Amino acid sequence: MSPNANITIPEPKSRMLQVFAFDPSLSTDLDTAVINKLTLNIPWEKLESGPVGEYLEVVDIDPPSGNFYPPVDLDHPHLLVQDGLSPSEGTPQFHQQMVYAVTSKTIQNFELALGRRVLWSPRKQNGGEEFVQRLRVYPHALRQANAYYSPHKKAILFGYFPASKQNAGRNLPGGIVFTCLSQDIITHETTHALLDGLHPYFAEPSNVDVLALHEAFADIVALFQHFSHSEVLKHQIARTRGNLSSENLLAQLAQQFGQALGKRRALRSAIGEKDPETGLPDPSKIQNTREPHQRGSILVAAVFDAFLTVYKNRSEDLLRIATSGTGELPEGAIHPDLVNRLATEAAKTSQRILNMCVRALDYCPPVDITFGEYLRAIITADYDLCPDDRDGYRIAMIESFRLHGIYPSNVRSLSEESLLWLAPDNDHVLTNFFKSNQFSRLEEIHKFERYQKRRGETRKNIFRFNQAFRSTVRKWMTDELIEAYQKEFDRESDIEAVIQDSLRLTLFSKDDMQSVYIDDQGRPELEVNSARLAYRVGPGGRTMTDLVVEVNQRRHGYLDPNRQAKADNGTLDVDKYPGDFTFRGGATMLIDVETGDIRYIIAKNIDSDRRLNEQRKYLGSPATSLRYTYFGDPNVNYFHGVEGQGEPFALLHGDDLEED
Amino acid sequence: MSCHEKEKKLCHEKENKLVELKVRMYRPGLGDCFLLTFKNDEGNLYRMLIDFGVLMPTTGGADRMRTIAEDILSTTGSHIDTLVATHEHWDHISGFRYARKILGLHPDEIPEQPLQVDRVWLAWTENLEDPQVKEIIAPNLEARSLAINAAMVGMGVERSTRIQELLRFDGPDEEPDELLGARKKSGGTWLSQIMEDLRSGWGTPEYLEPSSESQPAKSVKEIPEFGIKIYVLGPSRKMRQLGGEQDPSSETTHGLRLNQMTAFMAAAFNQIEDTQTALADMRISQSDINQLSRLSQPFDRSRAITIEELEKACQEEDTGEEISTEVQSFYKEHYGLSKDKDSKDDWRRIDYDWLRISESLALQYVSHVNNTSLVLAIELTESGKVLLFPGDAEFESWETWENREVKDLQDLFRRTVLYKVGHHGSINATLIEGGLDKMTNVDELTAMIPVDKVRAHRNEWNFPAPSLYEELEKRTQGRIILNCEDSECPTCESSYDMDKFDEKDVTIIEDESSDKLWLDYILKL
Repeated sequence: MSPNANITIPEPKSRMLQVFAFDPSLSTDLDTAVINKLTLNIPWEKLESGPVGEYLEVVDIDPPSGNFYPPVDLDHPHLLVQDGLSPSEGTPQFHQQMVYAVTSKTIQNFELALGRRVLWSPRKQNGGEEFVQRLRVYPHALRQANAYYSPHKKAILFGYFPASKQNAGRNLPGGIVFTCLSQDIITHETTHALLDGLHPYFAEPSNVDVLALHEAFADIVALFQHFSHSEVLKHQIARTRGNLSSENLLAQLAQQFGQALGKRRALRSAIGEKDPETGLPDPSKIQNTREPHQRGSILVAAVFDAFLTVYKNRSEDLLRIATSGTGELPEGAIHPDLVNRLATEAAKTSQRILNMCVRALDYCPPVDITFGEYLRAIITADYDLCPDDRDGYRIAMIESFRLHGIYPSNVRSLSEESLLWLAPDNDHVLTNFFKSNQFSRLEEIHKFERYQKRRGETRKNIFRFNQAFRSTVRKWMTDELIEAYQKEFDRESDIEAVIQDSLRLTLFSKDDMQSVYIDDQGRPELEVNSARLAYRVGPGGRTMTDLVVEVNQRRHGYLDPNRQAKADNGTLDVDKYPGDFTFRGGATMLIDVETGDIRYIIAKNIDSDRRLNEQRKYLGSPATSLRYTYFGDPNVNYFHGVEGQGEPFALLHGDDLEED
Repeated sequence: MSCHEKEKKLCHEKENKLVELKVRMYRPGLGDCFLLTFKNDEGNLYRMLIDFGVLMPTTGGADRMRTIAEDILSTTGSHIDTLVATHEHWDHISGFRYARKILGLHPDEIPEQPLQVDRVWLAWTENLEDPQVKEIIAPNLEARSLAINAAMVGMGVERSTRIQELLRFDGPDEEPDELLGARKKSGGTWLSQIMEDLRSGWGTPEYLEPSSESQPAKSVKEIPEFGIKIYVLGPSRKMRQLGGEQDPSSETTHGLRLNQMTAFMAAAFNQIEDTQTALADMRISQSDINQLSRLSQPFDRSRAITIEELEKACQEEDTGEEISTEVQSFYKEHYGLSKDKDSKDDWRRIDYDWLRISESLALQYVSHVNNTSLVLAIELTESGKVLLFPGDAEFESWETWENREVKDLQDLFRRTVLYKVGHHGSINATLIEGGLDKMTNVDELTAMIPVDKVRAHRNEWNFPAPSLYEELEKRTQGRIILNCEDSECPTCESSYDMDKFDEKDVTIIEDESSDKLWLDYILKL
């Protein structure tokens, strides 16, 4: 009987690839030898050698050594059946496999949380935007203890270096440490790239929280992605007897990194420092911490403490059962069933926290983000997903942020209701703008929605369609919206007064704000920098869709307030004497695609003297390091063109580079 | 026995009273030069010159150094008791080169009245025979310097301008001024030649350190004839940057341990074509570098294809025996040959990115040398007042200051009345917490900052740092003397506010001549 030649074999949904669970140095420590291997489940895609796929291309060139390492072909049948190459420090092809696997995993988590495909930040070229298909990954690009995502090259560069002879920790003294073999570092840098793709203006240093948020977010994703591996969790929970707040492997980010540099503890500990007496963090610490990594770690600590609170609550009943109410576990190892249940609780909780933090990105203002606003974004995004905070996630977040000294401004209290974003209730023109079927805007939005939800559409086309739609929205905002306002109000000043509370932008050129950039038609320039779909759960558990639109404007900003005043009132020619920095305002709107209701508007006022002064102060603040003394403040240099921008997303910045 | 004879031992004969102290701050531009004159009750004078340098001479600046040298000669009658060179930076010792002939350091052309110096004081870090210097400090600095220079070659002139500016502290590469006469000896830097002059021009120098167990005279100098006692506070051997935590005898390659910096250096060195010249006069040898290179290879040789071979194969359209055609086409498509500068993905290449760390290395290099500064606290025995001259010591040095005879460093700070601000007022050459904030003599403390603001701003350097300046104003109640502030430097005037000084204790006189060479701060006792 001949085999049926017409059977079509379906494509696999996933590909299994082996990676190091922790930094390879730990293999020499018997305690963790058992678990330093992990098999990741990556979405299936056809791969070319590299590997090169839909989102990534791994190019293994090593300029310091003058070498090139041949690319691995993960579609080779031998590798397909063995879950890829076995973990090996000495095989460059395994390194290529590992960076591909962990990066892909991170991308997958993002797409799951956001419900849409991710796009890398486009290349700004000739005044336009060029689609970037793939993120470049260089596993052995630098000979130093560092790694970074380069927003200019849309690439991640990983470094390698000899372990310090003294204090090598678990590394072999003098052995080579590869940052591309650390899941934490790979995830951290990939997250910078993903966030940059979603919010390119979050790289613009307009206040002390901006770069810190980038670092914190990258750490948060790395940390909680780690927790999503239950085998690793089980071992850890057994070791700490269920108490995850003691120092432990999981919460030490980039552990190998720090150890190899000669520091015994990891570079940044998410657990943070607590007062030995009260067990509470120091809420004033954030006021004195400005360096992005350090400031970011306070935010990470806040999120981690929230996770611990929820985990403890959820595991309380388990511990009650296991200890018959005494709360004291018996000596020795805890029961494996208990370990499993605790691991499951921890994994679930961390997955939820991770989702909360990622979803929040759709509820942020387009520019000048602050920690407080990020908290409001987390709360609002989670409320949209799960109106009833039965498990107390939101309360835990609010409380934990408070204990760490992170407060949103302009809210009446720290209750959940006060922290939710608001709809533009006092601006009827705006509120009705997307609703009116008469002008077929809602129809356009539905078209956009249908296109975005189409399966099998290439990301390039999604990007192109996206660009076209943004252009359409821009015309709406600059032409039709103004007309709508003019129909409703007689005077420009009335219109401006209404917009002050809603969009907080300026639609007309003003005599006292001539520092605003204007377009070719002499009107204040307006950029629609993003349009995308976000999902939430509505009444009855139905999935609902929002259109997220981000618009922004910019002004010339001057470090000297006198020059600023002159630019604003028109006595300084801004074309001849452009600003020292760019000051932006903008608004994010979440629009229900079914009804056209603007559910939330999150705006930063283009006319805000307070924000302008803050940015001025931030950029003019005294330099405190040798580097700044000679090379200038990189934040100020950021606004002076690409050459001055350096690399803002390095794992370690210049002054931290240790010598031994 | 007169104390003016060239003796290693200082006299302990008589104790005299100090009646006047004059600190002359010369004004070379962005540089240090201080002439201290102590007068005792018998009318005798003790003169100490601390540093003599300028960073980059402004137009006519080399001439200015010579004019200053002449002034030093005439003021001191061509005789100085003690000459101090705090550290090897151009802005502290270049004057000894510019005014070489006048000072009598030129082997062939000695003037009628060369400068006579009784003793030269250097920090122990300048003693080439010292084990910690030989085994750790010198090789480290050498390696670092090699790394930086190699990286600059690799990056090209345009990409490395920031480093070039920074390396001015190391002196110029070329002959800066034809009036200097004899050309630089082959190999070696200008700095090392100046140091050679200082080590031999006036007898063997004394190498001082804060806590010498075997030779206490290296740490404390008593000059009872003038009622002064000089404490050496730094540099400390314990400083991490100077290898304090390392055992000099541990296994190394000429003192070169394999670490991030040396691994980088070994790689960067490949950028250099003329390796012989680069290594001339250095202790590090090609074989040292080869060994480091071998040890820092990330993978076994068999795993790698050199970029050179790969590019050759691609260009010659090799049949793929050595390097497979798949690898060749992958390389061409995803990275591109270096000659195809307009390949579509050229903007994503990373040929130079790895070299950028050299900027950090350059900063660390400047910092290391700054921390080798000799730090002197001059105590006026009777009144207890202290003058602090820390060279350009940075935070790490400040934090390790000590002296075998000083139990309480804070007490010294408390009694400080004159503080020569380190490194032209840069933010990290003055430790505030634990340093400046212990200088609590609010009624008398004066700060002197040898800075040329214009030159600094031209290089976009932040001297003096505004936040530091604020602190200094607080502690000195406005008694800050700046070398100059005007855009007309260096012929402008020094800047200070006479109202803030108590005329009973302090007189300030400026050079009336058109050159405006100096400012005198005279303390009455």
